[in-house]
Amino acid sequence: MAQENVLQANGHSAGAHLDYLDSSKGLWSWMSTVDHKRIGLMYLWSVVLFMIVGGLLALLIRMELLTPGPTIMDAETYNRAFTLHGAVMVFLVIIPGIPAALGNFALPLLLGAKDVAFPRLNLTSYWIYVFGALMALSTLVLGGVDTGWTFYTPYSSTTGGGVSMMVLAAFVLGFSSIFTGVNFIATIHKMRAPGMGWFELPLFAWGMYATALIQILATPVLGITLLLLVMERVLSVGIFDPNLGGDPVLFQHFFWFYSHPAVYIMILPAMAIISEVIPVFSKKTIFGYKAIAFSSVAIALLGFLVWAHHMFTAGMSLFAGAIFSFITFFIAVPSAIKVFNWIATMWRGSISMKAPMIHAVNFLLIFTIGGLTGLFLAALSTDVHLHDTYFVVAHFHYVMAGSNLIALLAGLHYWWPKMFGRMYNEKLAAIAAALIFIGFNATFLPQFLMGSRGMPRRYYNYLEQFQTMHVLSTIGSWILAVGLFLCLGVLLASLRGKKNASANPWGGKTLEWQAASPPITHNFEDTPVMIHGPYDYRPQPVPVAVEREQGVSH
Amino acid sequence: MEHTHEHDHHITGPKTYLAVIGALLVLTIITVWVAQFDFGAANTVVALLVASFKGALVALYFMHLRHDKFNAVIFVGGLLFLGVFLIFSLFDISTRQTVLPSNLKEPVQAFPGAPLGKPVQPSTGMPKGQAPSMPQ
Amino acid sequence: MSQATSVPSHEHHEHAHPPGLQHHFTDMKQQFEASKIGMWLFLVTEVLLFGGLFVGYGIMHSKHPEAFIAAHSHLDWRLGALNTIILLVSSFTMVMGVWAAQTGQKQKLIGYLTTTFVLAGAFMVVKYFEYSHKFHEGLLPGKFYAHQGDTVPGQFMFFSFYFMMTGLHGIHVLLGMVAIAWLIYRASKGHFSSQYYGPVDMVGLYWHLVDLIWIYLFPLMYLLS
Repeated sequence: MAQENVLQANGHSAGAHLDYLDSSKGLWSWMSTVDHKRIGLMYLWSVVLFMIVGGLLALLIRMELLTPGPTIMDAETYNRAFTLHGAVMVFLVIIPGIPAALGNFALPLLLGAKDVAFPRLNLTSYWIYVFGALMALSTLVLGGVDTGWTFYTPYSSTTGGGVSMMVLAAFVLGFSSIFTGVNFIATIHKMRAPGMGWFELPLFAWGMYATALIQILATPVLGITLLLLVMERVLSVGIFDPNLGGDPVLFQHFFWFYSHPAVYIMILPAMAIISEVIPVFSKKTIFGYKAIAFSSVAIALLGFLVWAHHMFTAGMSLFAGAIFSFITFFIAVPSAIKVFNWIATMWRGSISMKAPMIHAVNFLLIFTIGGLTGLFLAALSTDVHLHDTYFVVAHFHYVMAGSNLIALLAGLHYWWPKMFGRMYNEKLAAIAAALIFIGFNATFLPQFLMGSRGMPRRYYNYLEQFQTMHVLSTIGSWILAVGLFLCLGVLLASLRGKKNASANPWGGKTLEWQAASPPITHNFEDTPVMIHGPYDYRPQPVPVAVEREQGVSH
Repeated sequence: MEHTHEHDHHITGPKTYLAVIGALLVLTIITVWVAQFDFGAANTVVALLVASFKGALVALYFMHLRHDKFNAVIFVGGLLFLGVFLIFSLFDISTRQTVLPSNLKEPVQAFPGAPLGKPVQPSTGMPKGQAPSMPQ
Repeated sequence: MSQATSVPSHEHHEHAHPPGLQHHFTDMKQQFEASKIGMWLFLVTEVLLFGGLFVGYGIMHSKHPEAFIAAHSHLDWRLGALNTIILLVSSFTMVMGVWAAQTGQKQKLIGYLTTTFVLAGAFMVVKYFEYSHKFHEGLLPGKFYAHQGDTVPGQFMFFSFYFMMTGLHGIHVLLGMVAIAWLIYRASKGHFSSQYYGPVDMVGLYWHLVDLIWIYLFPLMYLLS
């Protein structure tokens, strides 16, 4: 910060034009930075680190399930391993993954702004995240948590171990998420480049906006739910304890009022990235701009009306079940609208299968499978059969893990040249993308099959008849791991070379490609002005002002 | 109503604020006063109505939402979602039927773990008679 | 959130910035409006945080009405009403402080802020007497409930909610007092003017929200029938 000021005071000295990576040196200049790009990168490395932690846990879980009965760990350890895997992946990887890491880096650039609206709040949010992460990991030495990441009462209010610590960690992480959301909404409202109206916003910004809405509206309810759970453990306040006149199913209402919208915190940013990548690599104007933009907001809002579809077999009333089931089917509509629009964008486009685009196409396939299997679970009657089986596990991994992770990789490969000014090895990146796709499907497709045949989730042991599919799934997890490590290796290897990326290596039309690669600390030498639409790939782009007057749609 | 040239925001004067605080104090007396009457099931509704009237005064005048349409939308939007949370939870809570397990002839009493005059005994997660696991 | 507007100006590049303007904003208007949106979004999260408790209270109240009504009679509504009046008046002095800041009257601003601070302290003093009385009677939350001579079972649950809700609210009052003390300090340093009063406005909004929540807590806790 101090160093930055010196550079600014020097005005046009050479320092002012150094890129943001080199503008100041030293660990402290990173730890205390208020530059959204640096904060984005710090989030990125933290997310990668925790993804490795969560991924190794997943590999251990799959290894344990290779054979029925004990393989490498006992049942207690297994319970703790899958709980920690879930909690780490949900709260430390997926939720902050795209919005806080890539969103922080890209959003102000896409808007043509110097920074987010509240840079210091942004830094605060990062350190709160680190603090919460340390709290979550500290449960390892406190005896572990064996409740599953959903912390259902009354088990979670009576079992031992580090439940309170894990719950408080999630509470603290909620603040980080809320601050990011507040920042993004204020940024999108007030920091847009001159000439950028709401319908010239890049679709990534629409996706971030919808995500931020959920972060703000849902996260506080999770906060109070978790506090109530801690109070239940410490004081026995009675609200969730049937023995004290409370209602354990009420906990599930409280929990899912946040956590269902939270799955849209996970998928909306993924969709947002896909909406950026597909037009650029199809060299074609996005099809149905407004449909995609509004369906993001529709998903965010409808997502608040469907939470109890997680509770069909929990003892909820049939009346409520019918209502929630009915509304749940509706949420498939805006999701499908997006998929159709992306495919229509690709149709007759001049598609170049670069690494980001390969990931984007993989996303389309995986998200479609994940979305369609969701409909089985939304129907009251089939859900009774499928609830708490591997079918559910496979479904939410397709949507939360597969779609989110692959979109994160698409975005990472897409913006990597902008982040570090370096191109990676295209061929190896493509191989990694293929391995990830194969590995992911090999891991989770068998789980649909065994789930529909009755293999319950979270079980340590299983019947002989399921072993073939468990073995397939475990082998798939190895392929997935190899693909992910190869991907990481390819990206890291590029950092050893010279800065060789041009300002606009993909030929994108959004504003971030007008900045240098990597950008200077204040992003743009001069405040950019929006001249043509964000996806205007016509030979002679039509100026925004003219377009507005003539009412030409994108 | 004056305008500052920089912010172009309405500045409400002390007179309005005095009137509002007067109204709020009167409404507080009304809050206490209506609580003496028994409207049956509507008791809470009446109390909340008076409170909402006071809340609206605070939000509109003290928090300047009268001149701040955009932020008013944000605030009311937040309240709407709180309403969704309450009402959709009630869809379940208010229509649930008591299903008795076969070994029970009648529903258990309201506070099985806290009979009159005895200390409160939370669930232990263990069958009756076994030592509770240590919650901490 | 209010801190967003609080950085002393950085001299940078050619153009001079007005005091209080951060480098990444174009002008004071953009900065003020952005922080105001941020503040309101934060207030929405506060509403939903307390909202969860209100929903839990409402559902448990409707499940065990006798227990809640029997338990509320242990509260003294006169103390509740006194605190309501204290908070309402403090909200009034706060908004007068905002007015003084908007019109650039430094001494009045400091005076109103100090009054607000004192009233907030008075609220906490009344709260202290209420709490210590409850502690003495064994009217405690959850498994610590030890009141003798009840005729209706389950009253501990009312006190669970009483302490969680008024406790969380009390924490917010304390945080508000810290924020107001910070404003008094900055006002005495002469940081605020009719051009730059964002922090006063933001803390004011927060303080009114604390008041707003108490407006609902008072009848729900003290005046059940």
